Amino acid sequence: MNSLSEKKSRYGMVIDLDKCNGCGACSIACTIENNVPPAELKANKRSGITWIQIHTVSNNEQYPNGDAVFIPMFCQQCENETPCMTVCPQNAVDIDPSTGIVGQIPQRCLGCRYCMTACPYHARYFNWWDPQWTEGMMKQLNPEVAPRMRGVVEKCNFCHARLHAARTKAAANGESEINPEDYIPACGESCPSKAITFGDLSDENSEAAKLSKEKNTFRFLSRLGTEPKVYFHSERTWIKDMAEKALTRTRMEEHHG
Amino acid sequence: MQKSLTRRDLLKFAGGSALGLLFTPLPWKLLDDSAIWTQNWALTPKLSHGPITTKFSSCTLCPAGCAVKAHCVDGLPFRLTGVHHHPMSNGAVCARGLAGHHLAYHPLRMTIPHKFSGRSAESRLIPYTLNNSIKEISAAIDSAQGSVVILDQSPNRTSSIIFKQFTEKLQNGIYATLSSDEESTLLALQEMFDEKNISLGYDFEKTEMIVSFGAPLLDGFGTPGLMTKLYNERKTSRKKFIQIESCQSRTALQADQWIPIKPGVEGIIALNIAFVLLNEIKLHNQNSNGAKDISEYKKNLKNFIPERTEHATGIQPGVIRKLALDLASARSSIILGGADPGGGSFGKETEKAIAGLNLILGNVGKSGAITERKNENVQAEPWPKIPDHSISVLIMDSYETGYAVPWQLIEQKLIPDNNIVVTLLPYLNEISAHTDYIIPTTTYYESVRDIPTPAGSPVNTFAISQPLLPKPDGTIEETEFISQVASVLHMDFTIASAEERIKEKVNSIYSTKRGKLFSFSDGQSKPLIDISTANDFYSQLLDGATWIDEKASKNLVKKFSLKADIIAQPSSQDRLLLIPFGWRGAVSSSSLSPIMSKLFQESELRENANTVLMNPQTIADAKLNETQNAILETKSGSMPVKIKSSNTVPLNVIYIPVGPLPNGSPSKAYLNNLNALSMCEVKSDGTWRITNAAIRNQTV
Amino acid sequence: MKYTSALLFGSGFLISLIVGWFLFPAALYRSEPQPIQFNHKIHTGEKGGMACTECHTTDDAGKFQGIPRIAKCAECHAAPLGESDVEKILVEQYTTPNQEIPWHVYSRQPDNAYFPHASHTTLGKMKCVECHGDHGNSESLEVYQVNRISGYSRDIWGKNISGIQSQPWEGMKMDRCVRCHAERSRKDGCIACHK
Repeated sequence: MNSLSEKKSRYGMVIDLDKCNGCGACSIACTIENNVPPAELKANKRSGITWIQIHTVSNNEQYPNGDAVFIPMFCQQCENETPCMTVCPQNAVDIDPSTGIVGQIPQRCLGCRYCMTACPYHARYFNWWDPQWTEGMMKQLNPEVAPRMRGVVEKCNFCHARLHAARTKAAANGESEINPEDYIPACGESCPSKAITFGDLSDENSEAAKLSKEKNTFRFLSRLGTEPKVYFHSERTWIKDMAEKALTRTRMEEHHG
Repeated sequence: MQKSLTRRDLLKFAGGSALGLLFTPLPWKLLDDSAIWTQNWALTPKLSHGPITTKFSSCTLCPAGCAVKAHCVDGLPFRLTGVHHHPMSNGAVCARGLAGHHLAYHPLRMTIPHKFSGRSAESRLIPYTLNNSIKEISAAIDSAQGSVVILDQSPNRTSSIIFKQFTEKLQNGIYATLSSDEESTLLALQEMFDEKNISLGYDFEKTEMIVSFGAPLLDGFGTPGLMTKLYNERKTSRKKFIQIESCQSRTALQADQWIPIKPGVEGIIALNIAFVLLNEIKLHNQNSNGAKDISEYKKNLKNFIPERTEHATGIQPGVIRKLALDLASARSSIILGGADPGGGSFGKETEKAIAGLNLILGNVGKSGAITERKNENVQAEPWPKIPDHSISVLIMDSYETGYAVPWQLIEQKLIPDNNIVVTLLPYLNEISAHTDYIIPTTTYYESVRDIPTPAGSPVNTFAISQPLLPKPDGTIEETEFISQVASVLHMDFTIASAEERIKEKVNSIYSTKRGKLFSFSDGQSKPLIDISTANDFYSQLLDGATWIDEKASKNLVKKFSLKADIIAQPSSQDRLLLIPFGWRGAVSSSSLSPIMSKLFQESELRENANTVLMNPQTIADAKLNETQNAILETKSGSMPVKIKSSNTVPLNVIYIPVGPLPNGSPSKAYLNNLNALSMCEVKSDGTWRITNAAIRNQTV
Repeated sequence: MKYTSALLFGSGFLISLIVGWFLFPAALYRSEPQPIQFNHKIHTGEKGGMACTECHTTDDAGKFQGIPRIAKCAECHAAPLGESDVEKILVEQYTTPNQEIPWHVYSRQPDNAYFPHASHTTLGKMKCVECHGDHGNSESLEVYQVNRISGYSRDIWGKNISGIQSQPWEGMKMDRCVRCHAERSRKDGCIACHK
């Protein structure tokens, strides 16, 4: 007996960097959706928690010939030899076979942060402090995402709670497949510039699958061979070159001294 | 038979116990439970299990009034999203609006009145009773030597009508507004017409070219969802965005063309373009027929031959000629200036020079340009027209506009050492920290609010923001406060409740039978005449709908005067210039959800108030290093800053963000003295765009 | 003498057994009475004739609503229908002032567990009794017992302290989910059921 779908989906995203104006709406929508707490007083860009961190990357040309793009960086959902998953001693990270989404189970996490070191995109964040919301804000938490405790690692999971909700809705209607319109992560839904296209990459008719095969679509650090499922699109050639070298100059320098 | 127990016996007993325990569930169960216990930290909040519902409302965080869908659990919103296909907001809500439901629970939120022990930075904030506050404020109004002013920062609401009526009943009362910087070009344009009381708006949707002098069009201008939509569609709709600005702002980065200029020469460039249009291209069209003294204007423009001002503007004449030619051949265009939320407007002369280009090009009163809409504004005294040192009692209704207001701008109108300032605001921020009383009004989503036509809208609109949160005890509606002051003063002044006033406004719109109603729940528009009763109209607006008026069809041919009286002078290159900039809605420290730390503190997406941006060459010239702590000095004083190197900033410019602190709640000292805005010099025309400054090493 | 050793060993053994099987469970759980002695049978039996789903509904998005809210009770019990004391308490303390009843939920799962009822009942064709037992025919509510260490309801572990479950609806721990899913050879990641 197996009435539920065994269809293998591969969820992914294509972000049009030429449309992104770095407004920050995706990051805020993500924070609210996933019950990420506000910053502790001492938190900074390395110790804070931003499931989506938007980097400003410039081509380093002198004024007024410079150019820059905003790069929303988050878990790239590596399909192959997922670095964080392979290093986790706790089996707290796994890749969902039916969706391709890399999941993080905070309850299993022991806080060794090995995965954070392994992640080529610095897309994983550690809870250095207990979550702090004001009393009223605590009542405004998303009831469909469990808050995490101090001492565990967390990251983007393509708003998995929204996939849960879509599955519940489909099941209640007796459907085993979700309606693709019911599952869009908070960042994609909130982007005022409509720069984020989300969908099932294994479905050739999905908009995301089509865009991922376009000429100026690329992935960050694809030479590592981890087959990330998050794609970027830009007509600017310099950013494509940079995408192979390093994520951002400043971030990398800080991490390595 | 007595026998004492030996140690050996005890061990046997213990051995038996230990073995026995292994045959019970105790060890395994304890292990299981304690493992669960470690996962359930007491400080991790528990989630609500109530039913999930949705409600519609409208955001009141800035005048744009974007439509929002609130997802609620147990009746409280936990997520706000946009309303798809909305004609203005287009399904988008900005970052600040997405977190708008947190603001009622902001750590700096006040629910009881407070009084300051004095005006100095050392003064303390003391909780005070509402009755005593009202008594003292009323007594001050009664004995006022100078004028009693209500400054309404979010005009044209139904509350604004109450403010106006109240000040009219006072002998020395003035109802004043501070215009949002976004409409500064439109206001300049209105002043150029002979006919007064006209109301103008931008028809961005149909225009072919948008030339912006520093207006952050793609970074929170107008209704953000609309501007990003127009930007994304620009290839198919053949729309061009041109940005003329000294710094490479976000809009400059994205615009189809960015024309970098020297700081403070916007007016000269506008007149350069005017010169080329009138004296070289010999542009002539119907609308410029309205111009009086066109010959004198043309003559004065001779001072603005692009070659002659090239040294001052730093812009090649060819660039200006090309731009003028593009403008002359475009079917429609909009040219606007000002509007930086931190930097304020350019000042009247520059704004008029920019606004004049629209008149020359015949861009006023036609589709795809600047259109006239029915004037429904509550008439008010513009703040700059109030004489200096004339106000005894100032009541500021500080409902957010998202634009910075330097305290110096307010202070210069007060009678020195003999004034009372009251803020109707539930937060401590850069303005309220300087006042005498803070009266906590209800905040976002706590009460029914009306959303009048946003500044710059081409048509009149109306929406109602339905409350999503309970109103806390101790807070008071701004009009209720006025009503209580009136009763202490024995004035004959009764006011209707907010609901009744909004209903009255809805009735008057209904009686026009014009326009259409866009419903949030089904995304459909229907003509107003199809709605059977005014009550039905009201309840539909309350449940989530926007009324949109018809576009005015008549052509605006009116008499106007053009002036070209800017003095072109090269900006000095041996001094550093301090230029403030901001992001709409984030120009103060309080009215931002704590989770905005993701953009200001936990990432470097938005610069926080303690960081200045400088060109690497300027940093080297000043013998400083990037990320170094330095001291910024202007005539107003000095403040510690952190230096960030950026190629988006021209030489000899210190680009300073007006915004929240990097982390935590602002200190009283910061709010009173040392911030980006108070470092700027407010000129006599009310501008604070450019200030001479110096920067030095902290240790020297 | 020989017997003394055995006696001591045996008494230690026995005391441990008593502690482990009887005193420990008594100490581990705290009993909390339900606010109202709800009688399911009166609603679902001949008198009421209602199906489980009439009160335990799902919302528009298909999400199971659990224990109904007071508004649902008030649909019938805005005023007392009978003469029982329980109903009198319901009307006076809850439906009239529109106050939610602070029920203790026997099957409450931790916040990080995601259990979609619809996938199991509508798609999986499981019956309510398969997990909840004959709760729908009970005449009174059992005493709610809460684990002092984990804070979970006793029903999650199961009534039997040994963890051995004689009935399929006893115990609601994760291994039970895993077993059932494995029997159906479903391939899921952790986040398929965790949030």
